[in-house]
Amino acid sequence: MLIIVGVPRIGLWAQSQALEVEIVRDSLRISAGQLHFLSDTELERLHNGLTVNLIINLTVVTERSRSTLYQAQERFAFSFDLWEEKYSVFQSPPDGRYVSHLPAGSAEEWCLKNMPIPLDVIPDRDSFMIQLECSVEEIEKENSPEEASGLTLAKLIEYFSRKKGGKPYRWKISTGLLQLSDLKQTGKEP
Amino acid sequence: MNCLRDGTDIAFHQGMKNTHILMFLFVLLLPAGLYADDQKPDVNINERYIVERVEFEGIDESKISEDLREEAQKFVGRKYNAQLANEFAEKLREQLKRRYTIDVKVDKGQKPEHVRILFNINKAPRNVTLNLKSTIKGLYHSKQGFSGLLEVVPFQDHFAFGIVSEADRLLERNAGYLIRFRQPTLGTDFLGFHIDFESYHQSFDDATITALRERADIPAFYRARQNFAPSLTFHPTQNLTLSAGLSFQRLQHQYPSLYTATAYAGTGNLQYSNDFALRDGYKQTLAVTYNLRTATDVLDSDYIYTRHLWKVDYELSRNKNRFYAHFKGGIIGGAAPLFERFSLGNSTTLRGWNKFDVSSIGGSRVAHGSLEYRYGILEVFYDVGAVWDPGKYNPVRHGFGFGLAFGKNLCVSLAFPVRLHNVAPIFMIGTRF
Repeated sequence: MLIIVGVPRIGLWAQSQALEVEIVRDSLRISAGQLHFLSDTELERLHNGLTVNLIINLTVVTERSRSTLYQAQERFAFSFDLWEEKYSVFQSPPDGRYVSHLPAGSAEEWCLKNMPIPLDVIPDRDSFMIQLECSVEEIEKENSPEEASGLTLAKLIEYFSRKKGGKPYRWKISTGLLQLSDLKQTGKEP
Repeated sequence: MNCLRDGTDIAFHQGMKNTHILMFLFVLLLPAGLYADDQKPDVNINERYIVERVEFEGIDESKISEDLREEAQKFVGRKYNAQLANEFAEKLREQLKRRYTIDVKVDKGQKPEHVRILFNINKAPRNVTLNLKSTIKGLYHSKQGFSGLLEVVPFQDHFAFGIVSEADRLLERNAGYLIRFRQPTLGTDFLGFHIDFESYHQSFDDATITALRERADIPAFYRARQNFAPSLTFHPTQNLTLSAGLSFQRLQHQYPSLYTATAYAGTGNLQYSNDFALRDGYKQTLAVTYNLRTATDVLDSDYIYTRHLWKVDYELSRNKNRFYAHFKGGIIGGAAPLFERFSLGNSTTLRGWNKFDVSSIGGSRVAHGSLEYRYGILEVFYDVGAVWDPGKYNPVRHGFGFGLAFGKNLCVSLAFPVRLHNVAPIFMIGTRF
């Protein structure tokens, strides 16, 4: 009922993993059972009662032109219930879905489940690829005492060596080439 | 919350079944526009629990101001709010002058469905490692030329070495080097120890040299000056800083013959500073400083004088709007050498005026006020002040200008003197000294 595809390209430190793609009603659903978004550092923060924000990007590109057919970004706020020792996730508005009482793996899986790819953007015959990018929203750096005043060489070097754009993604993973006809439909919500 | 089924996701537009009424209201309001697109979600499941107590770890609580301790107790008995806890941690960090790192942790309380908030406070690391931290200051003033400072700190917070060529603050241009030693804590956070050593060669404007010839009551100009200044700094409270020390200055005069004179002085500095948060997002900062330097024959000083300086700096801010008011006043009694005399007309005082036009030999009395308004990086300012000697008239002068200001000191400004003739603007770019 579903296709498990290999991983031809993996980002910074993602392990060799697999993305699973299936058709559920009128959309494609991604799952990554073996892939864990939350590292030990994030889990520690969660167990200290704090919130961890994950940003997940899904992109569908064509094989030929590598043009983007579909792109979605969602932000998920994870927290760990200190008394019930389960995780909860809040999806950023406008969808604003919410789930609680889940183990860590299920909470991660829930995020992907809530990022369906509309089937009508997928070409019937052409091959396509799905890219999944995931990053943890970093806590703003606290000002160190010496940052309070003055222009320093270190600040200048940091400023000029800073890359444009957002923070680098923690990891990026991509499916191999897919054909819609190869994917089978589950027909109902799992 | 407890009636949420395990693993059940809730979508508002799909209807709510078997959920608590409060949860319903909570989630119902969220997609209705309470969040702007750029706002970050910070919904923490533990926010449904009541705060049982607030604890500070790693620091003597007496170092935390009474106001903040009282504010912390306001968390108790209320639902945990992650954002408020983080804001409180930031206030703590500000109050502790960023010498500490603060981690917020939340843990189960002793009572069911209660939590305790733990602020874990640790001293910021002060590694004695080679890190070559450097400070650069550079200023171009269209009447007074370039000033620059490069200070290298190879051992963090302890030693600093610098080279200087600066003509902004005093009536003289100093070119030379400085060495600083800082021991911020001496067994206790309340006490610190500093040593400054400076060695400069001086050059004076022709106007100063000419005017000095007619003033026998002012010590002659010099070609070199060294200063060795050890001091102790006390922090009796978080808002109060008291410094006491000595300043041993040796001046090498060239005329009428080569000789060295001393200006050995006791020094004191008292500073009070505080931040006040007001309603509607307004914030104000006040700093009041008194500085005393007294050269006395007890220290075997050739020059005998006492110099008092008072400064008040006030800032009121809200969002991008910032309003600053500065005042300083000073008196010198006795025959102080040129480096101690007050002058106005630089990058921070009487902007629009050349200090050698205001008074080429400075004065033993000064009064100066300044108003600044900034919106983002745009700045307008107005300065008024006078510098004079008793019995010698020197009028009150006004200056105004506008420009761009980046942070506290970096600026690009165009300033104008208020007078009827020769209204030539002064251009300044760089770091205010």
